[in-house]
Amino acid sequence: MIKLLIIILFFSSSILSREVGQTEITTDEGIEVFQKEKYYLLKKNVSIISDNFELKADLVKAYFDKDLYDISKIESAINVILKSSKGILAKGDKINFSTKDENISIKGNSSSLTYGNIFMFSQDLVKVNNLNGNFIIEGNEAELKTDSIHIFGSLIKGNFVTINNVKEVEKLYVEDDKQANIKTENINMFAKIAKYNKKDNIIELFENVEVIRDNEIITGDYANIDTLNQSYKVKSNNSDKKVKVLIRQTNE
Amino acid sequence: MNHLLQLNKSLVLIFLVFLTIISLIFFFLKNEILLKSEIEFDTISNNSFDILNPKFTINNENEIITIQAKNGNFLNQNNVVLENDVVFKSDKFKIYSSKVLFDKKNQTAYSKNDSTFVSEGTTIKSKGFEIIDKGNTIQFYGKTKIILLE
Repeated sequence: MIKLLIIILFFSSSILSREVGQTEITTDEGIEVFQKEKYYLLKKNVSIISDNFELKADLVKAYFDKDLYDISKIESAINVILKSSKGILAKGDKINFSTKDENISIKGNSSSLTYGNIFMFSQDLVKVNNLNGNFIIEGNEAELKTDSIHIFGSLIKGNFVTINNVKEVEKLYVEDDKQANIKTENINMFAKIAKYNKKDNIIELFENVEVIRDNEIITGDYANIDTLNQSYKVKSNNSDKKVKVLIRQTNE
Repeated sequence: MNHLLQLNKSLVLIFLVFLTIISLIFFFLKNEILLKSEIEFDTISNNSFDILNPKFTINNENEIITIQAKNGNFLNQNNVVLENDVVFKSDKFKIYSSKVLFDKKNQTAYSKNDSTFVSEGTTIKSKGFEIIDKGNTIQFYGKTKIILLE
């Protein structure tokens, strides 16, 4: 009798529980299916678990192509957390992502995305394409952090590549109305615009440039920093505005 | 001048009182009607049925949804309570439930009983459902679980 009860309990619990290849969605306040418009709304305490990702939110709009199972795009809002099987952790007020071209867009206060050793943060928008590695971080307090570099600005865009399972920034463009900030282990850099290319290992700084290394502070209009040997050149655009070097005294 | 103003005030007052009474009557009657249909929907006896094996359809521009059950009871000219093995069937999906209120005129259906929706690659289990907009919109109520096959 007990064995029979266990068997019944086992089968009744496995009838509608997720197996490999399936997506399980649970909600507290139901679902609204709009067949003509090809989307459905999931309400309150929504959880989506699939082989590729896990999503938690309070409101989810899922667009489908052929039928309900064929989800093409997800728009989610209110306390959203997205985890992908590839190691992405995204948090924000609103997260939209397309399952087919792997575009992730995080909007709102404290939008963040962690992907391996890369951390992105903004008070407005973080956008990543997981297939080609392109990203945009936009708005107040936009921030990008890797093992070797820490960047602040109002617009940070570029792309990352995976080398030996480690994510590395390949190209980078940073700008800020006042001064963007790039910190490496040895150099602290400020400028209105900064560009980086991994191929050349060069960081270029434009306008309102300030380079700080140890006790040196160098200001100018343009700087070219070699990230391999940590050497740099600073220039001024016109003769009136000269490159300045300040050396701070330390009490050793 | 003063008399005229007083007369107007009285008329306005009478009108307001009249309007309040009408609103109150409407409000109470409306609640009573709703309560009545709710009670009838819940307490209809299982032993007496108006129709056996009822069959209805909901038509929209994209599909025809047929509705079948073992038994049915008319609440009024348009509303039928369908009971026992109620199935909504279209080319795209099926919905199973034990008790559904079907509105023939408005082509809507409502159930607060456990329901199962099945379509290609999709199973939805909910605590009830509602079909509106001639079947273009389906709402599933309460704690809901969906399994999608990729």
